[in-house]
Amino acid sequence: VTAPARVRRAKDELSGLLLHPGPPRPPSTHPLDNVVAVGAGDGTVTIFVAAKRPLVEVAPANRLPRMFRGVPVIVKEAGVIRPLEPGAGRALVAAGSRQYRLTTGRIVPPGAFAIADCALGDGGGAPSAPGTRVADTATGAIVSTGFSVGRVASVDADVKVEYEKKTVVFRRQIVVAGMHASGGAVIRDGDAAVGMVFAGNDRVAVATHLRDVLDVLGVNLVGAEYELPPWRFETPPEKHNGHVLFTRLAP
Amino acid sequence: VSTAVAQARQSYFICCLPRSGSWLLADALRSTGCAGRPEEFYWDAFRPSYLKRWGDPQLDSFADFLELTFADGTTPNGLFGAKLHWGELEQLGDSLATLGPPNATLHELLQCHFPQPSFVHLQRTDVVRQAISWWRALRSSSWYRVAGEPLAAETTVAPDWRDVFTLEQQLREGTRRWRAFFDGLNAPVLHVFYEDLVDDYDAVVSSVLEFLGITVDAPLAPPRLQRQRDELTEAWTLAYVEARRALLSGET
Repeated sequence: VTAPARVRRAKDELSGLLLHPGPPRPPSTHPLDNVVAVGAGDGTVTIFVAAKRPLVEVAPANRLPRMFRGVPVIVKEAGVIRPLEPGAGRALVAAGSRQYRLTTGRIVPPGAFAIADCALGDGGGAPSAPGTRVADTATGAIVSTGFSVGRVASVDADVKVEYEKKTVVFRRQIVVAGMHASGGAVIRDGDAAVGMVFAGNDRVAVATHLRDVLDVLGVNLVGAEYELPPWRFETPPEKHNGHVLFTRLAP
Repeated sequence: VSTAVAQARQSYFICCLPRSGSWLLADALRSTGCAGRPEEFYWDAFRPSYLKRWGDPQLDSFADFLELTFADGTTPNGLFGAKLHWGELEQLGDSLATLGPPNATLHELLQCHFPQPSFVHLQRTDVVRQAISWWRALRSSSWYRVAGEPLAAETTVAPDWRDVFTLEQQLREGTRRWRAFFDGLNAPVLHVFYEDLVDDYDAVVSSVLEFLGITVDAPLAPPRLQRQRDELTEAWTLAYVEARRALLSGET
């Protein structure tokens, strides 16, 4: 098992143990109340909590591990994460020749788990410089909305978002520390558009990978090229008159 | 056959990728009776069935096959239409190269062998649903649905998402190749979208007819083909997008 794979597995396991969707619960030091996100990083797993307490105030049974499955665990304070109101900086997207503004749905997802809270708003106007390509970012990268800057704390975080009557766990999100953004804002890493902010507070912003947002909505980012990393096959995909024949990875 | 060649005075191609609404557009143009009869004549795998349709004639070269396609795909006003996926264009280019002129580019071969060619580039913005639709069609062999006909039996077992990822990559690569083809082309090109065709069928079909210089007095017939996207496509889209993120992270 490679180091990144070990980290991801530890993160997934911790996420399953600590993030339980359901009705909102009053704050406490119990991990099920206090943990708001679990993210994989470079060699570590980060557990984000609503509020950090001095160790003496936390019952031993409620203390979070410093190491899990051989992976170091870091605990960071992030506050309670809620969906954000749509604001400025929303990007122009297109479905066919029709154009829209990318925005957040703010509609409580029907299930306990989700991957995106996004919607199409009224279009019009010029592209708001969201990037020249759609790509992914990396943990540690400095990203910007054009109005606010932050550092990516995780690009693979499961995040508990507190809606009015229930909490929903969003999988594989980007958590940006130190960024204060409004819903629908597109974050950039250099010239690449990498995510759309939909939740957060005054300490962190939570963004869905932009690639996922665009594909859930079935739209393109106006003025940007879409980059899909290559899928490496043991053998090249076979083609049959332009139609692919299914090709498996070698075990 | 030579009379048919003489009848084809103008030609066009619907340039597309799988699951982009090309049958819907082709059927609409065909139904006018004056905008050619576009079909996938140039996919090698379809050639035996076309030859059977035409009475299994003896062919001396690809030129004979070309003439037969003109005879079938041309309406009385002299407009010939054909539908091309990217891979089929590559096959057509290989076949035309056997006829010459030597060392001609693909663009030159098309200009040489087709009368006044023009190109309708039909694209689909929503590539993920396109890939899922392609996977479903490959599995069910149901490539289009005519209104009133029963649904084909189909599995609801979710795909291996690596297969859908492969199809998505094929579609994105195909789009890049079509764009590169049009970049260097000295011929009329009209770009239209699947999403627009579905939203406003009459407007898109009318724009294609106008591009081809065809005036149709009668109103367009309603589409015979029905949309195949359904709740299963929506559920699989969400599942695939999440699974793809795991694939991109190196998890398999």
